This record gives sequence, structure tokens and C-alpha cells, in this order.
Amino acid sequence: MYYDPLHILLADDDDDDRLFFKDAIEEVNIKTVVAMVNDGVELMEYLNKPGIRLPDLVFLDLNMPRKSGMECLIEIRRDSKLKDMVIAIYSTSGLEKDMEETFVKGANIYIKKPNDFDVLKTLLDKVVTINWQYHTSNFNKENFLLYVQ
Amino acid sequence: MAAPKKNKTQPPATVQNFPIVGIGASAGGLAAFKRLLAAIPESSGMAYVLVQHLDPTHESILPEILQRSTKIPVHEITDDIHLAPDHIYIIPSNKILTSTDGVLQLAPRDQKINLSIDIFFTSLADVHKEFAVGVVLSGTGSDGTLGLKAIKEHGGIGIAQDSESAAYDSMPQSAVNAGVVDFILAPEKIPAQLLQINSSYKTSHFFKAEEELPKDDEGIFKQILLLLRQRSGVDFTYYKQPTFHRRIARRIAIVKKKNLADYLKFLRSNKAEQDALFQDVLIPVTSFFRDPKTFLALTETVFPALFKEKTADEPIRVWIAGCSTGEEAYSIAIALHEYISYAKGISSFAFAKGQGLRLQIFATDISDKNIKKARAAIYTKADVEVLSSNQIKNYFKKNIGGYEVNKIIRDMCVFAPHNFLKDPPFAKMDLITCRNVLIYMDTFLQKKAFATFHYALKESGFLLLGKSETIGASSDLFEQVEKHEKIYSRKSVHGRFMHVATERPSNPQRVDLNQRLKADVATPSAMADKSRAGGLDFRKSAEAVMIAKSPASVVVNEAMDIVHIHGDITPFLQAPQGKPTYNLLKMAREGLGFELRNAIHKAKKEETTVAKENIPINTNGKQSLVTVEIIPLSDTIDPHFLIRFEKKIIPVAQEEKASSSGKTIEIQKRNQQLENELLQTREDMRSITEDMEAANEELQSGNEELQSSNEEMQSLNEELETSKEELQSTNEELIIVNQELLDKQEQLNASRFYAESIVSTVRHPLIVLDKALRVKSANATFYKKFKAEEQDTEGHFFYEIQNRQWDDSEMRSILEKILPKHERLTDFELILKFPTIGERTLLLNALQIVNEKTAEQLILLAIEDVTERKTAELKLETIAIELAAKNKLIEVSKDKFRNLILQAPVLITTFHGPSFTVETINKTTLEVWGKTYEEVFDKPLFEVSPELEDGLNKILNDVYTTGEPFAFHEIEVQLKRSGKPDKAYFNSVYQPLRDLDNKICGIILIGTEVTESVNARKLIEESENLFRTIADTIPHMIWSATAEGHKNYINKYCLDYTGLSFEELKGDAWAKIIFPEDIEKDLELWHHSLKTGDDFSIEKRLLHNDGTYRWHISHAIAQKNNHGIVTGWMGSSTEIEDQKRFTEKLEIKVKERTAELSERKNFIETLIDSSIDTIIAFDKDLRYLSMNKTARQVLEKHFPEGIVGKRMDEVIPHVHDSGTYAQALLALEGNIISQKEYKAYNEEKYYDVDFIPLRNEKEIYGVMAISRDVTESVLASLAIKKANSELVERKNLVEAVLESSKDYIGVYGQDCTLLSINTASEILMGWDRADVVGKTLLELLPDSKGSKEESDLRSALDGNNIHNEAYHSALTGRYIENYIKPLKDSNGNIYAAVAMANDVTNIMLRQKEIESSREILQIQNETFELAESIAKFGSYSWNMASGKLVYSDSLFRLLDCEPDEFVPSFEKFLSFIHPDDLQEVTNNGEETTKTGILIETPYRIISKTGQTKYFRSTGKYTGDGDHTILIGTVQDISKDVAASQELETKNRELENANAELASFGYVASHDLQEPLRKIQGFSKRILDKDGDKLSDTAKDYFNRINGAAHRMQNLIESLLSFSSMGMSELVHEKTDLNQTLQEVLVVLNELITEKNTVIEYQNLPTLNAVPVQMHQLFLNLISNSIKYAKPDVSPYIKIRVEKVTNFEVAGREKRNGKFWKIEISDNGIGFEQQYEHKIFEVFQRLHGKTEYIGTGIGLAICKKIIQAHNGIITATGQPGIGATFTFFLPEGNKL
Repeated sequence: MYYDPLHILLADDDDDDRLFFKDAIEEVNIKTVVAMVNDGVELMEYLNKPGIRLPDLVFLDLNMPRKSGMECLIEIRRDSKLKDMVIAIYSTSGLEKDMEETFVKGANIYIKKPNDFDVLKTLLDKVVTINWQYHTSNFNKENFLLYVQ
Repeated sequence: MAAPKKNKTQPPATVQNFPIVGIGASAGGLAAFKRLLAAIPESSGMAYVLVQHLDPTHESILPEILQRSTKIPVHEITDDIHLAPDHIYIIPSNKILTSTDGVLQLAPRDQKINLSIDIFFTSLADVHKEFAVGVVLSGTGSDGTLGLKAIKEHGGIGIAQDSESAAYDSMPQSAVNAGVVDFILAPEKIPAQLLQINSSYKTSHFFKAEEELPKDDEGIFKQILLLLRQRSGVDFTYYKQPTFHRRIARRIAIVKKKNLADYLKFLRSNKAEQDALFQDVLIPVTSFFRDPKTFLALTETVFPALFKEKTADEPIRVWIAGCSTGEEAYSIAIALHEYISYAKGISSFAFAKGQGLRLQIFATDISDKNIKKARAAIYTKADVEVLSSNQIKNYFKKNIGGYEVNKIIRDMCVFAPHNFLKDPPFAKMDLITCRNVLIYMDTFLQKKAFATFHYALKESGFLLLGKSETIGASSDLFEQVEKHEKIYSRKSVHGRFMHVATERPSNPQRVDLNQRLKADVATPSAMADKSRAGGLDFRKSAEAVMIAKSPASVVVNEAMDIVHIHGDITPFLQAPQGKPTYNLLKMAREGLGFELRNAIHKAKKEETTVAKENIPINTNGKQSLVTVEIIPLSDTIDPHFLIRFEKKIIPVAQEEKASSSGKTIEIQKRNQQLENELLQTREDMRSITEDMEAANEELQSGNEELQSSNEEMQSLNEELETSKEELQSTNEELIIVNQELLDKQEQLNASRFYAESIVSTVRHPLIVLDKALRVKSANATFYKKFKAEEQDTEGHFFYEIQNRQWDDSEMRSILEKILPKHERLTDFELILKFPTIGERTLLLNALQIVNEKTAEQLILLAIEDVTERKTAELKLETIAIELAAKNKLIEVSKDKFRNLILQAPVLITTFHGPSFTVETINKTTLEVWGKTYEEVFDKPLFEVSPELEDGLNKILNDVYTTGEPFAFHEIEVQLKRSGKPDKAYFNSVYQPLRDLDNKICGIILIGTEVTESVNARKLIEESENLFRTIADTIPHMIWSATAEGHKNYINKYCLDYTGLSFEELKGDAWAKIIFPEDIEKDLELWHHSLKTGDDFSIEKRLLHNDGTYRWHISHAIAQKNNHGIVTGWMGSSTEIEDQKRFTEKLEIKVKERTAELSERKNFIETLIDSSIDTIIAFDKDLRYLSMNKTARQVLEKHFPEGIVGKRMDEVIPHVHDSGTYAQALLALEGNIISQKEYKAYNEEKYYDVDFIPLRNEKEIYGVMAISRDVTESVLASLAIKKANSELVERKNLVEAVLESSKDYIGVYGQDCTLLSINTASEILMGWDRADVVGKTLLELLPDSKGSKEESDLRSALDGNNIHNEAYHSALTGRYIENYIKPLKDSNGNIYAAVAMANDVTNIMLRQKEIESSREILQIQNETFELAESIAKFGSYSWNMASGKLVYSDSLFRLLDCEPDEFVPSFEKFLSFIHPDDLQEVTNNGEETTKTGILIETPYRIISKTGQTKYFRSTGKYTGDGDHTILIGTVQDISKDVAASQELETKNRELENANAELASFGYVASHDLQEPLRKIQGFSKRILDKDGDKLSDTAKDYFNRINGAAHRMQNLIESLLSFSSMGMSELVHEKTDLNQTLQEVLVVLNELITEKNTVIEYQNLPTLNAVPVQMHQLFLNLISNSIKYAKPDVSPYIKIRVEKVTNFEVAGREKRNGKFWKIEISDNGIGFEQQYEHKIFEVFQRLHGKTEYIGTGIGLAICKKIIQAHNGIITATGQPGIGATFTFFLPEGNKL
């Protein structure tokens, strides 16, 4: 258990999805602080705000106006200050191409937005309880895509 | 060891007390350096200096390189040289290290020759002496050898690299060969050896000063000295001890002994080491022209002085003392010789006046070994290298052993072993050199040596010493001549030379070391004593005396010269003023001289010690009394005297004292003393006076005598003195010369013996004659050979000996010329008759015996007896001639024999080998055989006639194997003779043929035809039968009888006639039928016949059976065999009763007849006489018998004496030549011979002569010759003949010309009759000359009627000359060119025409061909041009060399120009190019010219009309060099370009569309799904959160919304997956369908379980496919089957696999190849077959959505997948029963 609440940041332009995400995360059995931004530009502004506490976990939608999730991912991984953040891709796309590309660009995990709210809850529960240290050291393509059995 | 010099400008560290190892290398040296350095331990206690041959201009990095190989610091020597142990120094490449005044210094290198190692080593040796160690490593050349020599000379050690390890061994090998190397080692082994030497040096106190040597070693040294003296006879006691010690230390190091004692032990037992030590101590190191400066000084200073004084007969004498191995002596000799050669040009010296000058160089050394080497005079290349090439050329001879000093120089030098310290010296020397010898001697020996030299030298002779030697203490004897050179001249002072008693053995000639040694050993103790002290040295004995006596004393010799001083002698002796002297009397102080003279005189006289006391002398004004004692020294060779002085100071003070105190007593004493003295003096005086008086008297008288004789004696004595000395030296010289002579004599003896042996064993007589041809000597063979006696021969004139039989004037004249004219007698042949040995042929050779020395001139006459040889030669010649003749005979007889065989009427055939090959076969055999020679020769018999094999094979084989001949008797053979079959008989025998080894090699068949004898025999047999028949039937009595006369056959007629039986008549019973009166006569005759064998004939009466006796004539004929022996008798009796009766009548008739004949003869003779022909009858001997009148008239005219009875050839000898005689002879044989046109022998007349045999009843008795004069007709016929032959010749010539012509030539006569035709025409027309000649043209060629040929021919026959150019002749079918010309006879009438035709068909055809090909070309060209214009391309040809460019018309047109509108050129072409493409085209053009590869890139041009066109050029190079032509086409590809540009645009559009589509897909997948997801999400949330608040209907609606959204989502996903099917770049890989199926089953697990599905499947294949798609395929199909299951039936799915080839899907497709057929069938609801196609289409569904959930895309995807895998999918179904999906995947996909 964390002494500190887990800081989570969601970047998603879809209002509905943000609502779902918020509902679902609230039901996760972990103390969390969730911040949300509407697109990539906002995300980068948020992360570069001086004195900010960097989130423990960033959920990143790919298809966003102004600056896509992919662009953000590249930018974050290039930034020495941000590059160690855990990034979970959170996208509607189930395309092989997208998964491949984000994996290569350094995302930690890929979550396909589920249709079912219950499934979403389960997924988020799984994500926040992952021992990232362990996960990253055994990081591979097989465990990159997170799904519910 | 050089003492360090106190010179502060020099680096003091140069001289050190540790070994300095100099290491030199050249080529291949670096490796050797490294190896050596690597092996040096860090603390070896030695310093190393490396010198390498390097390019002086090259900056060397040698130190850095070498530092890597060793831990010891490596330095390059820069300025100061501070050599320290355990350091390595390298001499810079541009410097050398030399010694300057005893220290090493860097100096710039001489650029010319790189001998830096030699220079360095020499310097090293010079400075560091024994500490120097030289190491020569790999390198070429001989650098280092001379350096090592120097090192060794100074007592250092030389080491060379072994040749195995050296990359280049010539440098070390040179050193080894020079003998200056002590160790030969591999580089890495050298340091160990160095260490060993160093430690050995240390233990042997090598480096310590002499005084530091341990005392106990002194004894050992002495023993070594003793050993050495015993071995060599040389005493080294006074040699410089430190040097000596070091030499020994060196030896110790070399033989690896621990210490001196050890070495002594070794030395005692090792003679070789003793010699080695001796050699080492002597230091036999020398070289040619050592110190060249010295030699220069010699030639400049000494030689001129020497020669100046010389008269011609005075020899120049030089003594080289210590000549070592001779180089010094030869150098001096060479220098002298050169000087003489040079000085001769100057001609200011005596010898230059043409007289010879004798040079005598005596070279001596104490080492026998050295002398031997010197005498051999052979030196190595390294030795002579210091000499100039001229010197080598002039004074050396190169041979196998090296360089040998030539005779001129060698003869100048006399070498002898000699110890100049001990042996008597030479005398009257002009020059003595003694270099580098004295340095090894201590002062004592040096002095002695100088004394010797002083003695040996002439007045003002020169002495030459070594560089580091000085005259030292003996400067009174010699005076330095040259300031810088050690050349001294003898001072003209009395020498101190004393010759010590010679120790020579009794025989002075034998200067043999061993002998001497024996003498030494014989009296060892005496010798030791003497040599050490007394006999040799007065010092020691004097000392012995002096020690016992008072101190001040001197030793003087007989001449009163002081030779030794002991103690303070100043009170007694003082050096006089003026010239220094040691003369005792001159030195004696005032007052002492007189007394001393007297005392010594007395001591000498009495040989006892004489003492004189109290001699008052005045020393510096002081009076003192001196007592002198003279002691003769007894054991010296020359008289020496020890003079002892004792001084008493006169006590002046005492005198003064005495005057004051006891003065009186003192005075009295003094008085007494004085009185005594006076008394004594008086006494002395008196006695002396008395003596004097007596003596005076004597003296007075004798004085005068003496005075005179004294004068004589004086001079005599002087003479004697000098001559004695001279004799002594001469003697010494003689000894040495003698020794050389002995050597030479031995050699001479050997060669004389050799020569004598040869002479005595030579088998030819040899005679030596003197000038007067007197026999000097002759060899044994001479005496033996010519049986001469020695006493009668030797001393006699050669031509007088043996009764002047050698006196051949010619030989004598030649012999006499031999000596004066230097002729020689060569192979002079002389035939002499010796009374003893008969006539001999001798071969004489004579020549002058060359003998330079003796004046006597001799002739050597060699005689060779060649009598036997001559005889043999003659015989041989005769034999040869005979042989030749015989050979010829044999040849002839061989030929004859062969001809004989060939022509012999017998069969001769030889068969060779076991196959019986026919080898020889003669004509007869061939005839019999019926074969030709070619058919049978060299062929096996049975191959030629296989039919013979049966009968003959076995026989021949038997003959061949057993050797038994086999004979056939009377074999019948059918053969053709003269073409007619004939029967013949042969007797033949097959006999083996044997070769030389008597081995059977073949068979010979010899056969004789016996046909005749067989026939004859048969005939006999027949005739016997016939005879019997005839005999029995004949009406005569016939009988036969034995040889004895007994009748054994009587014929029937006889028996019938007599009526008696055979029995009654046989034997002798015949008589009973003879008429009794006739019996006696008959018997007598019969018996006579029996005896003689003569035929018997008698008329007798025989009894007829009617009882009457009738007359019979009986004949008995003897039957004789070949030998004439009667074998039987045959007889007959014929009744002649009737004949008897008619005889009378007959006789009358005969007479009548005879008369008639006589009449006829007359008639004929008349007839003959009347003939105009000459008719002559000859008898049998061809004598004229008779002749007709005509003949008589002719002949008698010539032979009036008559010719009847003379022989034909007597009368006309000519008949033999004309053949007439022979014809007459033929006529005599019965032939009628006609000789036509017989030419008379003496006139131009011709006769036809007939010879007719003349016969009478019995025989031809003569010949008749009938001659008719035919002269006229003969002459006429001869004329005709001649004309004929000319004609024939002409004809032949014309025919030959015609035949040789290739043209067709025919001659036609009138009416075109072919008269003649040549072969060429025959061939052309296919005619045979014989068939066609004589026929007319029309007959021969019916087609010719009306032809051109015919009309031409006729025209020619009318007299026209016809010539037709080439035309096609219909008649011959050829193209011909012809000439027809009329032939006219002498009258100008045309009688024929000759037609000559030339076939030009081939030429014509060729022309036609060319023409036609030209046409074709024309057509092709046109075609090409047409093609060009149609296909819009042009062509060009570009000559690269000339630059000429040709365009086709079409190309001009492509440029919108008229053809040939401009002159094409490359520049012009470029002007058409579009500016944007110009650069590229130019580049390409350049590239093409460079590489020869044309770059076919399209480019744009702007045509004349301004149109832009795309062109593409092609081209190809043909030809080469100047004929390189680029030929190619230019194509207008504007249309293509436009088309491709259009295509590109379309493509781009399509791509865009594709991209749009792709983005649509993405939108569909992403954006379309989004709202659906939301719908589902929210409705779910509502149901979860507020479901309980909703009505059931609302809940249902929500669920429906959810369902719809879900379907929608599925639809979109499927669609997406379908559309992405084609675009994804999926990779085919090895896919195991079994695994794919399992994965699908896992996915569908839930569904399967739920529906209770059974799936049955077979083993599926593994193939090359996209795994994901296969997954999809199976998933879709299986889930489909489950989905469309019948509601109440569990699905049953069956998967079958099959391998098929070339299948056909009904009505659709046919595919070839191998495929996997996979069938998935179910028991589901099935479908109507008509919908088969529909189900595979997108969104086509057969059922309502509610019935079966589905998107309607699944099967479409399946189809797409299968198609993507190049396969086919089909579906069959039956509603309510099930469906089957079958798909075929090509097996080829299987990896």
C-alpha cells in the first residue's frame, strides 16, 4: 500500500471517456489522485509546469486534437525530466500498427478502451497494482497489451 | 694496458678496467644484435659498443629498437665517451670511433668505404688492449677481420657469429678464415662466453698490476716459462712479464681453466696447448704494409740513401727480425721492388745503368710455424686486401689456396728460424726492421737486441722499429732519422755487442728446434744455470762476489770499459769532460789512473787478485787514501775484472791534534811511516829501475823489431778482426741459405727422382745430346733396344755410335739446327738397318732441354720404333684392299646368287618364323604357285594359300619344331605355263633354316621340277609295254640278253620262226639254230662284243622251222648305263634272204644315178655363175669353198692371190664387227639368215646378204652367202626416215602445248570435222578423244545446228578471225570467251580452224551474285528507311577517329529537317538538345567515349520547328583503333513518354484514392466504433445504476440498444478486418495448421462446450502461409459451422485432409499442380446449392439476423484469405443436412 495516494493523469479529449474513467477509478480499491487534461498540448503544459508533482501514471489517449498521444509519448521519452514516467496507452484502437508503434516508442502498457464498464474497472485495478519496477524489467511485447481474461 | 693519460681535454672515462666488447655487424645484423643483447644479463660488468653499417645520411633509430630487446640502458654515443660497465653504446651511423692519442673519440665518417668495424676495432684494441673483445656478427664483405686481427694482437679476444645462425656469413667467415677468431658462436651464446672470459680474467689476476700478483703464482709462471722453453727452445724470461701474464690469462680464458695452477696442469699434458701458447705469446699478428706511413717514409728517406751508395755488384741487404708469417718481409720486398722500378726511370743510381741489382732480404722468426707459413707465401683474400690492386696484380698469383706471392718477390726473401737474441746475428745489413717485437721484451733484452742490430748493421745502416717502440737506453748506438717514424740510423760508435757463447748443437747446420731442445734437455741444470746467470751474464756472478765485499766497486771488461757499477764510486771515478765515456782509466780520479792500470795489468798477467793500498788521491781538493783491489772474474767468457775501491780519509784533525798533544810521537810515527814509505818506494824504484834497465835493454833491441812487425800485425789484426766477424755472419747466412737450399734440394731430389723414374720407365729410347751432338746419356731402353753398350755410346758423337748407323744427313742437319735456331725435330721418320735387330722404322723427336742456369745446352732425342706399326699399317692396308675386293666379289656373288635363286629353274622359297611368312621366293616358284610377287611377299603362307593348310601345316610345323627336313617326291601340280594349264611334277624338300645361333627361324623349300623325268619314265614304261607288244608282234627276231650274253627274252616271232620254245633257246642255246658254217664267226664276233661292249652285226643263216637255213642280218646292241657299262644286250635278226638277191640289181642302178648327178652339178654351177649376186660358199670352218663369177670378180680385184681355203675373217676382218661372222655361224647351225642392208666395210654400199646352210644327206657342211647390192634403195629410205622423225617432234611439241592449256582447244577441219582436241575440252564435253576425232560438229552435237558456235566456226573456216567476249553458250551451258582462228597451209589455203575457249562461268556467276546482293541491299536499305520513318527512329554512324557523323534521312526528319539539310556533327547534335538535358547528355557522351558503353537515357530535344521531343539513342561500337565506328539509332519516344506520364498521373490518383480508403478504414475502425462503445457503456451504466428504477420495458429497450450497438461494432470490426485484408503486409511463414486449429479450438472452447460440439479432424499439413489469416480462416469456418447448427442437434464437425493433383472444381476452375484439399463439413442447417456464390459475398446472408447472429462478412473473409494464398474455396450444401466448405491450398506454398 502506498502511503501517498497514487497520482494519475489522464489525457483524453473525449468527455465521455473521461467520465467513465473517473467513475471507474473511483471504484478502484486504491487511494488515487486523478488529474485530467483534454489534449496533448495541455498534457505537455501540465507536465512542464514548474514545481508540479509528476504523476505516477499517465493514461494517454492516442487520437487527440492538436497534439496526438503518439507525439506526446515521443516528447516525454525524450525529456530527461519526464522520461521515466510510467505511460499507459489508453486507446479505442485495436490496430496492430498502433500497438507496435507505441511499444517501440516506449509506452509501458497498452489498454484498449473496453465496451464494458466492469471490464474497465478490472483493467484499471490491474494497472494501478502492477509493480512497475518488476514489470519494466521484464518488459516485452507479450505482456505489453493488457487485457482481462 | 695503456696508462691513463693526464690530459684533461680528453674524457677520462675512456680508459677503464673492465672488458669493452665491440660488436660489429652489417647486413642481417639487427636480428643478431637483438639475439645477442637479449642474452646479456643485467650485471655483466662489461660495456658493449655496437657498430652497424648504416647509411650515414639516415637518422638511425637503432637505440630505440634495441632497447626493446634488453633491460640494459642503450645509448647512442654523442660527444663524450664515458663507457661504463653494464651499458650498451651505439656508434652513430655517420660517425666512426677512432683512437686519438690513446683515447676513443668520435670522428666524422669517411664517406667512401664503410669499414667502420675495422676502424673501431683497431681503435678499441689500441686503447683498451687486452680489455678489447671484438665480436663480428652477420654481414657481407670482410669488414671486421682486420679489426679482430688488431684486437688479437693486443691480446684481446675475437668472437665471430657462426655461419648457421648468421643471415649473411661472409663477414664472420672472413674473420674465421683469417685465424683471428677464438670462438665461433651463435649470438645468444656470446654473452655467456663473455662472462666466462671476464670471470676467468678476474681469477687469473688479469687486471691487476704486476706487483699485486699473488706471490705463489710466480712459481707457476716460472714453470710455464720452463715448459715453453722446453717445447720451443725460446726463453721468455725477459719478455715483458705483464704482457706474458696476460697472454697466459687469455689462454686460460679460452681453454676455460679455473686458475693458473689448473692451466699449468693442462699445459703439461697438452702439447697442442703449448704450441698455442707459444704462438699466442709470439703474437703472430702482422699484415702487409703495416703502418703505410712508415713505408712511405722508407721509400722517401731510407731507400734513396741505401741506393745512393751502392755499386752495381753490391747487394742490398735487409734483415727482418721477427718476421712472423712473412707479410713484413714481402712488404719490404715489394716496396723495394716498386722503388727500383720507379728509380730505374730516374737513372741516377748505379743499378739503373743496366746492371742487375741484388736484393737480399733475410727474414727470421723464432717460430718454426711462422717461418713455414712465410715460406709457403700463400695469403688469404683478407690478408691482401690492404694492398692496391696493382700490387696484387703485379706481385701475387691467385690460386686455389689464396694469393701466392710471385717468384720475383719470393726469390728476394730468405726465411729462417732464428733467435736474434741468441743466435749469431747477420752482418753488413743495410736495413734492419724489427717491428713490434721489442715491445714484448724488457729493457735488458731490448738493449741486447739493439746491440745485436748495431753490430749487424753496416756503417750508416738503418733500423726500423715498431710504432710504439723506441731506442730507449741505447740511444748511443742509434740516431733517429725521421721525427715521426721510428727509423734510426746506426751511430758510428763502438758497439757493445758481445756474442754469448753459442748454444748451438755441435752441428751448426742443423737449426732444428727439436735438436736444440734435445741439447737443452741433455744438460738441463747446467743450461739453466748458465742461461740464468754466469755464462750469459756477468752481472750475477759479480754480484755474488760484491755482496761479500765492500760496496763501491765496478766491473770492467778487457777494454777497461765499465760495464757495471756497484755502490758509490764518485770518490774514485768521475765522468770526464767532453764526450761521455765509460772507460775506467779516463774516469779515474787524479792519481788513481796510473795505479789502476798497473794493478789491472798485473792482475791480468797473473790472473790473481791484486791489491794496491793507500793510494793517495785528490778528491775535490781533499786528500784521501784509496785501496784498490782488482779481482779477475773467473767464470765469464770474456775477461772481466771487479775493481773494488776502499777509501781512507786522511785524518787532518788528528794531525792537528797530534801537533798539540802527543805531537812528537805523532811526528815520530809519521816520520817512521814516511821513512817506511820512502824505503818501500826506493825499493820499488830500485826494482823497477832494475827491471826497467833489464827490460830497457831488451826493449831497446826488440823495440825496433816490434815496431815494424807491430805495424804489420796491427793492420793484419784489424783485417782479421773484421774478416772474423764477417765470416761469422757469413757463416750464419750460409747456414740459413743452406737450409733453404736443403729444402730446395729435397724438392729437387724428389722431382729429379720423379723425372728419372719417368725416363727409366719410358718405353721409348731417349738420348740426351750435347751441343756437338755428343751423347750425354741415354736411357736403359735405348741400350736394350739398340743393343748398344754404354761405354761405346756416352761421350761419342751420336752419328758415330754403332758404326755410324745413326748418321743420317738430314737428321743431323736438323739436330744441328736445334740449339742455335731453337728448332725442334718433330716426328722425323728414319729407316735404319741394324745388324742386330734388322731394319727398323724409327720416329725421332728432338728438342732443346731448357736449362736456364747452366750454360750447357742439351738436346733430348726421343726415338720411337714404329717398325711394327708401319708393317702392321702396311698389312692392314693390303688387307683392306683385299677386303674391299672380296667384299665386291661377295657383293657380286650375292647378286649373282640372288639372281640365281630368282632365275633358278628350281623352286626356292623361304618362310620366316612360325607363321611361315614368305621371305624369299623365286620366279619359278611364283610361276608354279600362279601368284605374283606382291601377292605373296611378306605374307604368311597359309594366308596366301589357305587351301594348302590342310596338307602342309602339320608338315611344316614338324619341320619347324623338330628340324627334320621333309621331302615330297614327284608331287603333281597343276600350273599355268605361258597361260596354258599344264601338269607338272616336283620333288621338293622342306628344310629348316637356322639363324646364327643355330636356332630354327624358318623353312626353306627347294623343289625341282621332275616333270620331264616323270614323263620320260612314264614314257619308258609305256614304251616298254609298247616294245613288248611290238616285239611280240613284229616280224623280226628280237631278243635281249644279260650283260654276260645270256638270252633272257626272245620274241614270239622268233619262237614261231624257229619252232622252238623259249626254254630251248634261252641262255647260250641260241647257237643251235645258227648255220654251222656261220657259228664260228658268229661266236667269235659275239664274244668279242661281250668283251668290248661294241655293237655287233653279222649276216648269218638261221634255221627256220621248215628246216631251211635262211640269210639273216643280226644286230646286237649293247645297252649301257650312264657310265658306259654294259647292262644288257638287245638284238634282232631280220631275214634278208630277199634283199640279198636284189643287191646286185641295185648296184647297177647306183652307178647310173651317180652319172646323172654329176651332170646336174655342172648345170647349177653355171647357173650360179651367171647370177649378178655374189654367191660364195664357205665350208664348216667358214673358209672360202667356192664362189660364183660375180663374187670372184669382186674379190679377186682385192685379193689377186686367190682366197679359196682362206677363212672368211682372214679375208674380211670386218665381219666380226658387222655381225656377219656370227650370222654365218648361226647359219652353220641350220638357220637361214638374212641380213638386210648390210653396209660394206670399206665403201658406201649396202647389201642384202642371205646365209643359207649347205647340207648334204648327213650334215651341214657349209654355208652359202648370197649378197645383193641394195645401196640405192637404202639411201632413199634413210632420207625418208629423217624427215619422219622431224615431223613427229613437231607434232609432239604442238600437242604438249595444247595439253598444257586450261583453255578448251579444238581444231576443226573443213565441214567442221573435229581434227584434234585437248584434254581440257575432253573433260568439259565428256568426250573421249578416240571417239570424237574425225566426226563433224553436227555429228557430235546435233544441237549445234544454227548455233553461234557453228556459224563462228564456219566463218573462221572462211578465213575470219573470231573473238567473242564472255557470253552464255547455249551449247555448253557455260559462260565462255573464245577465239576462233583459221589455219592456213604454206600455200595460204585454209585447211582448218582452231577454236580456243575460256570458261568464265565462275567469274560471271560471281558477278551476278554481287549484283543480286547489291539489289537485296538496296531493298533492305529502302525497307530500313521505311521502317525508320514508320517507327519514328533514325540511325547514324559515327566514325570516332575522324569524327565523321552520318545521319539517315529519317533522323533528319525526326529533327523536323529535310534530309541532308545540314552536315551532321556531334556539336550540331548537341545544339538540338533541350537546355535542361544538355548537361546530362554531354556527361553521358563523355562517359561513353571513355568506357565504350553507351548510356541509353531518354533526353529531350527541341526540333527545328520548336517542338519538344523525347529521344532515346542506342549504339554499338564496331571495328577497332582508327576504324572504331559507333553505329546506332535514335528513337522518338515522345509518345511513350507521354503515355508513361499519363500512367504516372493515374497511378498517383489511385494511390491517393487508396490512401483515402485507408483513412476511411481507420475512421471506420476508430471513429465509428466510438459512439457505439459509448452507447453500450452508458446503457450498461444506466442498467447497473438505475436498473431497478426502470420499467421492464425500458430495461428491454436498453438491452436491445446494447445488442444493436454490439452488432454494429462487430460489423465494423469485421468490415475493417476484411478491408485491411489486402493492404497489410503480412508475412508468409511456416505454419503448422494443426497448431492453428488447436489455437482456434481454445478460442472457441466456450462456444464448443456450450453447444456440445464434436469436432473430428485429421492430421493437418504444415505450409507456408500467413498464420493470422489461417487462424481467421479456421475460426470463421468452424464458428460458422457451430453457429449454423440445427437447433436441436449438437454440431458435428468433420475436418478432412487430402493431397490432390491437377484438380478441377466443377464448372469453375481447373488447376494444375499439387494441392492440399481441406474439407470442413458439418451437420448443420445447410443451404441451397444455388446460393453457393452468394454466401461468399460481403453482407450476404441467408438467414435473418435474429435467427443467426452474424455480420455476413466471415465467409467473404475466408474467400479472400484463400485467394491471397493462391487457393480456391467452394461450398456445397443441402438444406437440413449440412454444409461442406472445401478449400485447396497449393502444396507449393509448403515452404
